[in-house]
Amino acid sequence: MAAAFLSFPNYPSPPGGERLREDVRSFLRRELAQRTPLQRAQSWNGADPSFSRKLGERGWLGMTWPRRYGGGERSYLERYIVMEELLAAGAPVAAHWFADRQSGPTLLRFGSETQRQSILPRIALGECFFCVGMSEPDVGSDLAAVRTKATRVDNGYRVSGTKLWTTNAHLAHFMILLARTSASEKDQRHAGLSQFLVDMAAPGIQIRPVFIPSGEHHFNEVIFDDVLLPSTALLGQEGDGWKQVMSELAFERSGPERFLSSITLMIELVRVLCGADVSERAALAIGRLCAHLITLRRMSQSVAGSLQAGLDPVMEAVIVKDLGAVLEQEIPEIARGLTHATMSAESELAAVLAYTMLHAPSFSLRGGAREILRGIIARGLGLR
Amino acid sequence: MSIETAPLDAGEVAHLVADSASRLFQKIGLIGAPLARTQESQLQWNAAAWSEVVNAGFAFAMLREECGGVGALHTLTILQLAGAQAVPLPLAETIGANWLLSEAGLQPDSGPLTFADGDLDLESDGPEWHIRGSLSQVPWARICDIVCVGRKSGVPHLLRIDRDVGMTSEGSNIAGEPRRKCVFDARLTADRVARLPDDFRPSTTRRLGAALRAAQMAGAITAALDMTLSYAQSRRQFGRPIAAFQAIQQLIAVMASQAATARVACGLAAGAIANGLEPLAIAAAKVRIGEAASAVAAIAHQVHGAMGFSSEYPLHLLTRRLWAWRDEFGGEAEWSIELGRALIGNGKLDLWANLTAITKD
Repeated sequence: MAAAFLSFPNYPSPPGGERLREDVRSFLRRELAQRTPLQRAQSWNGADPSFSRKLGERGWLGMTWPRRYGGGERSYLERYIVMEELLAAGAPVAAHWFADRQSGPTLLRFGSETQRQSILPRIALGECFFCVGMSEPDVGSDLAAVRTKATRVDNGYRVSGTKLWTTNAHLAHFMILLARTSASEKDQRHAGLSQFLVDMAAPGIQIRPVFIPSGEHHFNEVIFDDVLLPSTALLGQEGDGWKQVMSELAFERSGPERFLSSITLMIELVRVLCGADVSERAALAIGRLCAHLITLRRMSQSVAGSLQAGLDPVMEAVIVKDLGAVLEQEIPEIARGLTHATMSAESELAAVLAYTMLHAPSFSLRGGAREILRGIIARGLGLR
Repeated sequence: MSIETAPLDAGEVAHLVADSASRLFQKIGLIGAPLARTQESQLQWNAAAWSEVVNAGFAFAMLREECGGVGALHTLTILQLAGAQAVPLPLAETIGANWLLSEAGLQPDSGPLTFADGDLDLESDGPEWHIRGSLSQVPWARICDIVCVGRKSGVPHLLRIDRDVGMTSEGSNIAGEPRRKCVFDARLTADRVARLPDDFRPSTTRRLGAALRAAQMAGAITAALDMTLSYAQSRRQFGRPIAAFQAIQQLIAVMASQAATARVACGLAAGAIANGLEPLAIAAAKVRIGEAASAVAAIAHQVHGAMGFSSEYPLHLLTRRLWAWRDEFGGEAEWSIELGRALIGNGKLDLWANLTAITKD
């Protein structure tokens, strides 16, 4: 029999789920009324701290965390509903996205009591934002090769090195940094890594923008020039960084943002198509994409249900992300074929299509390159 | 236990059903029977195997519980397992036909039965009835009574037609499963006709067939993955198992993701059956599983190389069925168009609202 991680059990919808969905929708209709389709297409690239605070007020951040840390003790399936509605509406969620999705859960799992109490409630209020310090100039897919060094000194650690592709480092209050605390041994590359909770205001941290092909600034280069971190900055156990970062990546890969990056384009495309007589060709293309979306939603809900059941759906998350990126990248290509003749270059749809096309290459890179994800699946199947 | 309250394949009932189905299908399926792999033997009717299927109660799987039914989810589990073993029997057809018979108030039986998508013209003829029209590609009609819809001035009736009524010509699908064309200009006795409820939708038989085929395909896809995995791990080239090559690993990873999707889509079809054969969920399931079938069959053959391209090797028993079943009861294009038209809608709601409404549990 094939591996168990291919079974994606179906979990029942949470009680009150549809009412929650309606609450989120009516909130978003009010809040986002002025947001243009192009702005919606930016979705989880669009940062708006005041919007993040409003979500915090409504209890839609840190939803699954314990109440004593400012969380809502809601289920992962309820959180899934809020997440997908935010993404489908093109809400500007980038300010808090990383903190809510992965940094908070990492602190909850591995952080000290002081770290949890001082930071988690602020994330849940939408007041505290995070960036992710994993990639480096020479370290992308091969994460175990990080070179940033944290050296133990009397009063803490001294950090030197450079992080790259750090989304929203310029907006974040904290970074969870992956650094090497002892030298890499030949057979044990995964040993000697540690995670740190870094206050981005610490002296010696320099942030330089890295612009993507569209000219936007999301990414940064973050340079640590002999930065002194207090010993309380250590997150989890020294030397456990690899195990912790793998757990963090599971959160990073598990959500509906991994197949909804092009959803605004699909919604706008359908809005334009439904005005006229729908051609068979258009109906076929849209129907096929929707069949993919419908099944991916169920798979992603299954991941949420497994998290709720206390399981560790790492492989399932990788599968959803791999399939999701293929779909996200197909959507702009299909949209091109359905709109070329009827679309004026100035239309909102044209703007959304251009935006999505310019960002599509990243869909199968961020959160784990396609080939890495497929390698993980192959390992799960026992092929390596 | 319904799909709403339990994960697919979980729970005691599911395990009981799955265990007994698995054991039986391993015995009577073509995958486990090396000597029965030629096309000729597939076409031979195996009455002994059929009576084992009947004894297991599977022919009545989709009926109400008090009539021997096990619910939509377990029915599709049974069909997945049958698909995985390439069981050369009209099991899906009998299950579907019995469900149609019971919907119309006719007596289900142990068959074998088949059902066909397509309406016949129906007229009353004294105390009896007269049917006219044709049905094509009717599965297993050579050995089965046919259940289908007849319309009298547009009013739907369910018909049960004895197997040798009408002019017939034998054929088969590309998997070698028997398919028959039937042309009717014949009389039916009154006990073979029953009026269907007015709200019986015209495409019911097609939706039913699509949902059942979806389950068989999900099973065949999983089995093709398993077969490919073990082949890649045992076949050695260049001094090591071909599974050690990244190029092969990446292909099989794609295959595994497609197999996972197929299982999820099969769960979607089970939910749709339980929800009055909800058409859009069935459309999504058939489209997605059809696409998965194409990808999985192609990769399975690619990884197997020439070894898998022989009638001796069992892979073709799965891939040929996948190729055939993709197109039966509506292929991806047909169902995509239906799904697309419904979701593009009339502009009152946006795509997302329409989409999330389909699978609301």
